[in-house]
Amino acid sequence: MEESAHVSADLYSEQYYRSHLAGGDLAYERSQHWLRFFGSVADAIVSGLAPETVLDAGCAIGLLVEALRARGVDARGVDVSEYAIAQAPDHVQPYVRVGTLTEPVDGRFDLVTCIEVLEHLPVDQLAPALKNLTSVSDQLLISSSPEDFTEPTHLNVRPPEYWATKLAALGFYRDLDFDAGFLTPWAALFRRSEPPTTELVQNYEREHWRLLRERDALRAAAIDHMASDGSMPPAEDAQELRDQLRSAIDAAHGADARRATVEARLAHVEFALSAAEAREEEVAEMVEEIYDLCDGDIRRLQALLDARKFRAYWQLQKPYRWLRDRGR
Amino acid sequence: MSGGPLVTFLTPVYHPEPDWFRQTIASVVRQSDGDWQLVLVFDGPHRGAHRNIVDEFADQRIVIVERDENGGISTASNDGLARCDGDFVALLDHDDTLASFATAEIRAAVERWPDTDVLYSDEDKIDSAGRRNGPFCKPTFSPDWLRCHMYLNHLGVYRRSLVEQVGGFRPEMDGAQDHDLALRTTEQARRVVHIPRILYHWRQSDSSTAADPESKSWAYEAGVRTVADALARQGVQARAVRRPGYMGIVDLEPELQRHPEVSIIVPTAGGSRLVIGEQIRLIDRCLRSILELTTYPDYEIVVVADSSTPADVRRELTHTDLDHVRIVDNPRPFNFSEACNAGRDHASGEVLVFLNDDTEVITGNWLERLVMFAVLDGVGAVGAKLLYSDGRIQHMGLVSRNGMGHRAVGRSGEDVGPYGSYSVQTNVLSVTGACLTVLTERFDQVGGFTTMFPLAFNDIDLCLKLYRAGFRTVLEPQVTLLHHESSSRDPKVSDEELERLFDRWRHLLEDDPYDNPSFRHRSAEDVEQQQPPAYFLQLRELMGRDIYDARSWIPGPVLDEPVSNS
Repeated sequence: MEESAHVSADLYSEQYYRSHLAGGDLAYERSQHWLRFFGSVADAIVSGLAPETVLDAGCAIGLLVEALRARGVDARGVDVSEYAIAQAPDHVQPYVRVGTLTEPVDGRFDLVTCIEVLEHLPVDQLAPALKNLTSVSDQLLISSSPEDFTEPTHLNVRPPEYWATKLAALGFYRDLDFDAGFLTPWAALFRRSEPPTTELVQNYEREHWRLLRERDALRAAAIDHMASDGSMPPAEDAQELRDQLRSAIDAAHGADARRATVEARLAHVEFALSAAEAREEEVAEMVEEIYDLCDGDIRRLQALLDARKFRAYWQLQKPYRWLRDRGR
Repeated sequence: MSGGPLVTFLTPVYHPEPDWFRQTIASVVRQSDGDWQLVLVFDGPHRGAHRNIVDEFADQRIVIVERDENGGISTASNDGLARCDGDFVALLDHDDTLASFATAEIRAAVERWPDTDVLYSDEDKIDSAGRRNGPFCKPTFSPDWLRCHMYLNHLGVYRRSLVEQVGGFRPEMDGAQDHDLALRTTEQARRVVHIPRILYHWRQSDSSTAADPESKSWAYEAGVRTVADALARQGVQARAVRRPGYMGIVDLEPELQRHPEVSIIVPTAGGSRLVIGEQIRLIDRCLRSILELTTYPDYEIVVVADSSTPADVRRELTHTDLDHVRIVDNPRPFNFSEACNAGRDHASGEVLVFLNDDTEVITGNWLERLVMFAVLDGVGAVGAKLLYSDGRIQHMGLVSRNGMGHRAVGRSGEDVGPYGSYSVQTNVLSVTGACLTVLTERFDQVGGFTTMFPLAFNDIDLCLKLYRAGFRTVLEPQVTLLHHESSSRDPKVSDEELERLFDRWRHLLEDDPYDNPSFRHRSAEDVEQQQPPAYFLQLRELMGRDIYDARSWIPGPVLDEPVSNS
C-alpha cells in the first residue's frame, strides 16, 4: 500500500496539473476562473450546511480551503501531491499538508469534502480511504466522475450508485433534499444516519416522482418549443403525414394494379388479333383451295355452257335457215 | 427439349380388372396428339393375361418393364422412371382413363409457358358401368392447400428432370407417395400450371371402398409422415396429426418456436345488437371472448373507438383488462379503413389481427394458428372461418364471380365441403376484414387499407395488393369465429363502388385464379333450376361431349352474396 501511495504521489507532478487535470485549454492553477468557481462552491457550502470545520480530502493547490477560510470556516486540506501543496499561497500553507487518504486523519470535522478524487484511487485503497474519511465526520460531500474514462489517472470510474452503495455499507445515506448540483451533476451529500428502510424508500420515491414530473414537463415544453419554431410537426400533423405516406404507397400499388389490368387487356387483344389474323389466312387458303377444286369444274361448265349456247344459236337460226333455203 | 416424346405416361400394373386395363391403354393410344410414350411396369409375376391385352394394341410407343417381385408402387414407379423418355412424366393408374385431348392440352400449356415444371388438371370419376360423375374442378396452384391434402392428384404431370433431381419416388412414403412427390417437386418448380379441363377419369371401384378401414392404417401413417416431412422442409412451425375418419387430409397442430407480439385491432362504434333474443353490446362480448379463450402468450388489443361511441361504453372499456386492452380515440366519423390504419399506428405488435367488434372468438389457439401461417414466406393475409349466430357459414374466403361473393355462404358449419375443402387450409384471392391477419411489415409495405373504399372492399383491395406484391392469401378454417352480422344493415353495395374496385383490379377479378373457370358464367337462375346453362350447351355443340359431360356435373355451386365489411 505504501508502494502504491508513492507511485500515486509521483503521478501528480507539475506536468499533471499543467496538462491533465483541467482538460481542454484550462490549466488547473490559481487563476481567476478557478478562484471564482471555488468561491461559489464555498458560498453554497456555507449557506447550505454552515460548517465550522471542513476537511478537503484531495485538496490539490488548496483553492477550496482558501475560499472557505475567507468565509470564516476553519478549513484544512490534505493531498498526495507535494507539487500541488507547494503551489498553495503562503496564507493557506499552514492549513494544507502532503498525505494520502489511506493514512489516519487527526481531529473531527463538521464536513469532509472529496471532489473528483476517489476515481483516482486504486481499488485496493478505496476501503481504507472511505473508512478514514467517515471516521472523522458525519457529513461527506462527494463528487466523482461517472463518465470520464479517457483520463489515464482515473483508475476507478463508477456510476453514482456505486459510491452510494459503498457509503451505505458504512452507515452513510444520501441527503436527497440537498442539491449538490453547484459542484457537478453527480455530486451528492452523504450523512451518517440509521433510517428505517421505509423512510429510505419514501425519500427516494418522493425524489423519483418529482424528477419524473419535471422530465415530462420539460419534454412537453421542448416539443411545444420545437413545434412553435417549426422544427417539429405537432402530433396531429405527424398523424396526417403518416396517413399521407400510406395513401401515397396505396396509390402507387393502385397505379401498378391498373397497369396490370391494362396490360392484361392488351395481351387479350393481341391474342385475339393474332387469332383473327391466323383465321384470316386460313380463310384465304380455304378460298384458294375451293377455287382450285372448282377450277376444273368451272372450265367444264364453261365448255358445257358454250356448247349449249352454240346449240341454242343453231336452233334459233333454224327458221332463218329455212327461209333462206326457201328463197334460194 | 430432349429428342424424346413430349410426355410419358407412367403406369405401375398390379392385378387390374382386365377390361378396365384395356380401357386405360386404349385411352392413351387414342390420344389426338400422338407425341407420347406409355411405360407399363408389371410389378411382380402372374401377368400373362395382362401382357396379352397390351399385345392387342401392338403399338411401338408402349414400353413394358417387368419386375420379378412385387416391390410396391414407389419401387415400381422408380423402375419405370428409368425407362421414361418423355420430357414430362404423367402418372396414370392401371384402371383409370384419359381424355383424348390430354396430351394436346399438356403441349399447349408447355408451349405457352416453357418454364413449366409441374402441371395438373381437373378430374372426375367413372363407375364400373362407365358413367362419369363427381367432377373435381380445381383452383390454380395452391401451395397452402397442397401441404395437407393431395388436391393436385390426377392428372399429375412432372418434368422428368425435376423428378430425377428430387430423387424420384420414396418407397418409405408408399400410400402417400404421390403427395410426397407433388410436394417435393412443386417446392422446387419454377412454374406450376393448372389445366382447367377434365383430362382424367378416376375409376370408382366397389371393392376398394368396402375394404377394411384398418388395412388403410399404413396409408394414414404414410400421409402423416409425408406432411411432417414437408413441414420441416418448409419451416412451418407445426406438428402433423392424423385426422380420424377423413382419408387424405392431415391436420396441423401449431408448435410455434417464437411467439411474436400480436396486436388485435378492433374498430368499434360501441353498438349493441339483438343476438338470438338477447340484447348484447358487441364490443364487450368480443373482448370478453378474446380475454377468456386466447392461449397466445403475447398480445394486445387496440380498440379504435369512433366519435359515435356512447360515453358509458367508452368509460367501461377503460376499465377492462389493462394488461391487454388499449383504447384509441378516432375523432372522425366511422370509416373502416381509417379506423384500422389508426389502430395500426398505435399497435406495437409484429403481427396485426383486424377484427370486427361483432365477432366472437370460439377457438382457444386461434392466434397460434393464424400466426403459424402469417409468418410464412410468401403469405400475406390469413383469414378464418366465420359462422352466423345460428352456426351456418358466413365466410370461407371470397370469390370473384359475376361480382364478389362469399364462398360457401349459408352452408352448415359442419360441412367439410367438396373434397374436404372447407376443412383444410386453402388459398383464396381475398378474405374479409372482419378477421384478417397480416404481418405489420407486409401491411405497411402495401400502404395499409386504402381510403379509396371507406366502407366496403377495402379488405379485398388489401388482399389483392398483397397478392400482387407476391404474398398469397390463406384461409384457415380450423380457426372459427362467430360473426353476429347485421341483419338490419343493407348488405348491398353500390354499383359505383364495385365499378371502382374492378377499375383497379379487373385483371384479377375477371379471372379469379382460385376459382375454376367452369364455375363462371353461371347465373343464379341457372343454379336454382339446376339446368345445364346455355354456355355449356354451346360448348357441347362446339367441342364435343367430353367437355359437356364433365362440366354439367358440377355440384350446385354456392350462391354468391354481395359483400360488406361488417
